[in-house]
Amino acid sequence: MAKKIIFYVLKRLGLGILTYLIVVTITFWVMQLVPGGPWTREKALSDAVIAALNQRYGLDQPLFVQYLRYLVNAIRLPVPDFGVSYYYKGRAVTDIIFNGFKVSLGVGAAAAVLALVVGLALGTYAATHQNKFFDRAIMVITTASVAMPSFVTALILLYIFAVNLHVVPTSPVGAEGIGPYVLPVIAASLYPTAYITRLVRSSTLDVIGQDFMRTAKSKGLKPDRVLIKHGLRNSVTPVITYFGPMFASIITGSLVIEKVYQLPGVGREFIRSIQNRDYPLIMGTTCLLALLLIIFTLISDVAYIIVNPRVDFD
Amino acid sequence: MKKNPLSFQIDVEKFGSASESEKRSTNLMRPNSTFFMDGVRRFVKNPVAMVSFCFIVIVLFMVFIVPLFYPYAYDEVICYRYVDRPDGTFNRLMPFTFAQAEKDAIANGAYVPPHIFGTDSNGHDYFIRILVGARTSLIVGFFAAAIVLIIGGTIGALCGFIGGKFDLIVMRIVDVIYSLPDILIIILLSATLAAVFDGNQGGALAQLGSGFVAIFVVFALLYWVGMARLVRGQVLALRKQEYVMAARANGAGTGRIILKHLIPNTMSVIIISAALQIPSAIFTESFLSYLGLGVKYPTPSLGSLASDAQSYIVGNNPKELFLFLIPAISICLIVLSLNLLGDGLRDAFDPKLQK
Repeated sequence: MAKKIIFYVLKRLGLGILTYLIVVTITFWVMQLVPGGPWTREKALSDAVIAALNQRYGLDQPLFVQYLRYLVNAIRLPVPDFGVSYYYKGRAVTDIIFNGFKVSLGVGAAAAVLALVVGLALGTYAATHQNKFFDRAIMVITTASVAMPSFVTALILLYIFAVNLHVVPTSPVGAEGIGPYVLPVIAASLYPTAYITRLVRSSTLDVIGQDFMRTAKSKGLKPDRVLIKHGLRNSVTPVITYFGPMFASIITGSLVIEKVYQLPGVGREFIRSIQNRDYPLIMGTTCLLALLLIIFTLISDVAYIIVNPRVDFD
Repeated sequence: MKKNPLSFQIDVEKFGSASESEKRSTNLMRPNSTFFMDGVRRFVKNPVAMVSFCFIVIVLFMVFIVPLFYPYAYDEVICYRYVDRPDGTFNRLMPFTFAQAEKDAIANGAYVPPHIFGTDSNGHDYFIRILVGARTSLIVGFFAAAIVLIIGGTIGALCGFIGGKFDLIVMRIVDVIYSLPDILIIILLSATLAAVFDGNQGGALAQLGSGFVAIFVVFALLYWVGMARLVRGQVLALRKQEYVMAARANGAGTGRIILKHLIPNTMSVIIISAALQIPSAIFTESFLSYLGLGVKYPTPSLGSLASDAQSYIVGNNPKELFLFLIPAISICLIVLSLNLLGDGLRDAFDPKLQK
């Protein structure tokens, strides 16, 4: 069994590394499609300056050499190197990204915790009160909320709580404390909360009907204790597999949410880099976010087979 | 004839021939029903799915038929009907109100078609822009789903039939593609395609907008894998079925088995799962439009309309909030009803999946 798990982890690790290399390759070659060099500015630079810049950044070498160098730098440990931003002159891409990450990870982690706690509570409650009013209400709300684009919910929250009720500031500029981060966290957690609630509800419903639950109850265990001790352990396993995709949805959500709430996170930096045509930054952000996603998916898949030994390894 | 109650004589009147309806009542067989008819019957009984279905039909009628005879065009700046220069009084009119020049025209006895949703900040009629925007979003969704269906279906079916090394290699590729971060690659592609299109203005692809093309490219490159897995699984499961073996034993060729057994038995599952791609593509498109990577002005999409109107939220101008709310609610309703319709179709035509 242990051998199988190690083999599985190694296989997934290999697939993860391969995926990362492919993302790096895609970003590099897609960027070569862009017409005009990175030095195309409104005011044309002289040929001598361009030649000097090209030499400095190694752009005068054959494409394949550039690609290999990019690839090697992208897998450098402990921190990959994606070169220097064209827009923020002289600042390293990894530097800019990690500055943004401090904000994004804080909001993302808070949103993930919120989604887990609320989703577990609502899902379990809905399952134990199946077809009652509250259960029906939860199902309707979660169905509706997965159909709303995140920018719509984020803007509506902003309109109600910041613009009209003035409960929280509209932008973090000049604001103190956690006030400006409350709405982003809620907005980022809406979709995962709805998804986890549905997931927990259906898996709890499955578990409630099992024989061991009835046995535990017939032995005189209190219903709450049966649910927590025997039920929850089995009903959270699907949530663990959702952990990777949840992280993905929070990252993609952060692109929109940081734009709506003007947070200085990695999502906003990414959008800006696209508007500024800052190609090293676009490539670097894509690669690093992809790397994070791959790591999280790997962790959640491995955690799943450790928690749930019945899984088959195919 | 008077009858003795104790008589054993048989009452002949009780033994007449049965009427037609009495004959039918003893018939235990119901009329023949096909798989399709069963599905339709289950579907019609599902009120949520039926409401979604009717809503989608109304939406399709609105977005494809109404613009043909609607008095305003989606890219028409209305003030030029009345004056020769740009006129701000035509911008951001409330629903069913008119600008001064239009009121004068009405006073002179001319017929001025109403602005059902008012006008936007560029002086376009907003109702027609919402309709055309919804049409854009639906077309994106439909073609994205079609691409996925064609590519994924073909590759999946080939894997299932050929098997062996080919299957093994393709499935490893599918594994890798499955783990690629799709949204990041869509954004990367649309950002670069935007730059490529800026280089050659006026091309047909450039007219569509980079986000549009990026969505199609990404669906063609990445999203086929889910469909390929599904179709492959269906084909493999079907090859093991006894009736396929029986058909083969009776001498049916591969072509006949595909036509008579494979397609009828897998089509509903596959088409429904392709249909569920439509809302996901609409979602992606609105997301890209919000980030400024979607369709190019003046072509509207629901996402770009909501994105253009978001400044009224922060500006707290309740009078103009409807410019944001109408496209936002439209996206939600269309995606919601497509999701519910897809679920309803799956429940009706694929009872095995039902919980």
